[in-house]
This record gives sequence, C-alpha cells and structure tokens, in this order.
Amino acid sequence: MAHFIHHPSDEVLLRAIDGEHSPRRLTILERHLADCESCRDRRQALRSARDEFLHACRDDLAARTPACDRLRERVQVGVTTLSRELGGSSWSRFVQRVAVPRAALVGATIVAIVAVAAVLRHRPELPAADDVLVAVEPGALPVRSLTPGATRRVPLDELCGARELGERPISQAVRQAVLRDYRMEEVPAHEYELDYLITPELGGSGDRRNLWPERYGARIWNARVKDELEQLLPQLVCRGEVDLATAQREIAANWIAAYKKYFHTDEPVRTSGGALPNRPPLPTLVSFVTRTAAIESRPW
Amino acid sequence: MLLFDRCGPSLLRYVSSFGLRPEEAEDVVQDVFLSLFRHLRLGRSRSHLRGWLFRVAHNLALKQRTSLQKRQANRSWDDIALSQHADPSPDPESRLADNQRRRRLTSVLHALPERDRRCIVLRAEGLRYREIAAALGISLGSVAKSLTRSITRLVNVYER
Repeated sequence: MAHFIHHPSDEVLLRAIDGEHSPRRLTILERHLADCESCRDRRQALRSARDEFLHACRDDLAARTPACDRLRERVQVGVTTLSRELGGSSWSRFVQRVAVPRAALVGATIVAIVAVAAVLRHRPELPAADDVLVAVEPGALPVRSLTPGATRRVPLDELCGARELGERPISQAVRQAVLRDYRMEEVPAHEYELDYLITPELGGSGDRRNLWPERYGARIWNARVKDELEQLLPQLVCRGEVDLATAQREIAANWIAAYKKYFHTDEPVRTSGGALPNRPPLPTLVSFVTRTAAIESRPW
Repeated sequence: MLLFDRCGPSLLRYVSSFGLRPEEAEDVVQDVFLSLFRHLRLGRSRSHLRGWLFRVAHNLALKQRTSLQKRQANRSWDDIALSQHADPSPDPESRLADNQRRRRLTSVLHALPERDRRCIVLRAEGLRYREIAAALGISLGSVAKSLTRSITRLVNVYER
C-alpha cells in the first residue's frame, strides 16, 4: 500500500484543497494526514489563507466591476450585427450557448435591422439589402464594417492598357493590421489568402479597408471562384459593357451576387485554368501579383 | 448554466483586474464574445470553452492596456488592488482589524509577480488549474507552483 515517505509539500496540500488530485493520490494523502497532526495544521493554515485571499480578490473586483446588464445587451446587438454581416444562420446556435432571452433577442434583432437599414439608406452607392444579405458559407464574404472596399484614382485606359502593371506586394504592417481586425493573427497562413475585395484590375487599392483574409475552407464560394469573377469583370469594363464604378460597387458589396449576375448562374461555373467559356482571351493586365505567399499552397 | 451567464460576469471582473475602466473592460468582453461567435461559426473546437474565453480575454485585455498605456502616459494603472471599501461594520475595533487584514493582503498581492497575481485572480473566479493554464498559456505544473508560492507567502505573513 502506497504511503508518503516524507511529509507532503505545500503544493500537494494545496492541490488537495483545490480538488486537483486524483482519487487515488487523495486517498494516500488522507491516510498520511490521519496520522500526522502537523500536516493537518499546515493544511488548515493553507486553506484559511487561500480562502481569505480568493474571497478578498473576488469581493474587491466585484465591487469595482459594473453590472453585466449593459454588457449583455451590447453583446447581443454585436453578435446579431456580425451574424448578418457574415450572412450566416449560426446565431440561433450561439444564442443557445449564451442563454440570451428570446424577447431580448427579438429586440436586439430589430435594433440591428434598423441600424443596417439606416446605414444602407445613408450609403446610396450600396446595392439593396437583399443583395447584401445573401446566405453563404461562413467566411465567404468579408465583414463589411472592416472591409468596405477602397479604390485608387486610376484612368480607365491605364487599367485596360496592354502593359504590365508590375508586382505590388502587401506590406507586412497592412497584413498584420487586417489580420488583427479579423482576429486571425494566430490562424496558420495556409488556411487563408489575403485577398483584395475590389481587385486591382478594377482599381482596387492596397488599403487595409480593401483587404480581407479569405479562407480556403469555403467549399463552394471560395477564392478560386472569386478569381473567375476578377477575370471576367475587367474584360467587361474594358469592352465598355459595364461601367467601372458599377463593377467596383458590385464586387465590393457582394462579390457572390455579382458573380451570379454576370455569369448568369446560381452556382460557380467550373472552368479549367481560369479560362472563361465563350470569352476572348484575357487582357495582359492580369499579371498584377496580389496574393500572399500562402497562395503557393492553395488547395484547389 | 449556459455560457454567457456563467462566464460574462467573471470575464468582466477578470478584464477589469487589468486596471481598465468599466467601459474599456466592456469593450474587451464584447470583443471576446464576438471572437467566440466567429470561433463557433468556423466549426472549431467546442471543448474547454471557458479556458478559451479567458485566454482570449487575457490577450485582448493585455493588448488594450498596452495600447492605452502608450496613449495615456499619465494615467495611473492600479492593476489588482484590494481597495479600502467603506466597511459597514459599526464596531471601530472590527473595522480597524479588517482594514489591517486588508492592508496585509494588499501588500502580499502587490509583491507578487504579474503571473502569480493572474493565477490568483483566475482561481478566485473559480477556474480549474487546467483552465488557468490554458488562459495564461503556461503548464499545469506552473499554475500549481504559482498558487502555492502565493498562498505560502500569505501564510508566512500571518505567522510572523
């Protein structure tokens, strides 16, 4: 039968007080304590100090911390808004986890809808809400408040010219800022691609507001599908079939809706090597290198 | 008990312990739950969520404090301080004894290294050793040693 050869250490006693020992080890310790008065006294001293320390910490922080009512409301509104921006339906599952009362949820949803409607009303360049709120896979669309899209002033003939535009890598500072915005600093680089929302071939800038970490995980509306749209739209713009501002606005607002509109389809058109069916060859401006190093390992 | 009700108040207290003002602490906790929402949407692990929440809260609170420290050089940062609350006890002797006890606790707490203080606060919030280890990114053994060091120090003060 196992016994403590020496008196148990303070750490062993404290672990026992905190319930951090296995039942077997606890049994061995109790057997020792039954025969050792000094260890029992030590355990009592540790327990008293621990209780006092922890209670004092808890009481003090509780006295200095505001009530949670306002926080709960803020979290509800924040998550509802984020859910709508991401276009998913996971909110109900989240609500089940955070135990938000149904009435409060309804109220928060109304607030969020009113807020989104107000934003849309004051931003006439955006498309209708129906187009914005297309339900897609998580991560297929950027968060609008973080990535609304940004353009640079560039003449159309320059965009459509036959010359090479050259390589424009994204700076490390901008990359870090975007990842911070999306709380993805710790996500491995091979799981996403830092993509332009408005492609440079359409005058999209390298501004932080035009970049987002597009996950490879999306099975249907993924980075490759967006590439097809990024090839088609500049062609249409350069042929004069679509106005440049319209193309910029539509790809920024909801690239999936734009894809469906210009490819006349509800699902991605699978093409090989990026060539478009029944379309002339692409202009040479597509050599703009916009991807991160992670694109090398992109799992097609 | 479900996650928000279980963890929201604790998270707010923990984040406040970084010396953040109430509105700053609320901002951080709101961000924590938005991160949780994204985490769940991405289909990531749903196990040990309490430890995960405290880890995110710890990192965000540290970042917020660092950012504020750069911008507000003159602001006082009383990390974790057992303030002298008004004691409802009408008995002056009891009040005196309580104040002395509180001063002793404060002096011990302030003498602790930052990591030891964090362990104590997280334990005070009811986290298990495993969860504290996850929140602070240290080993379970380090948590046990840290807590023992702090409690032993307090015992020694009492025995003096």
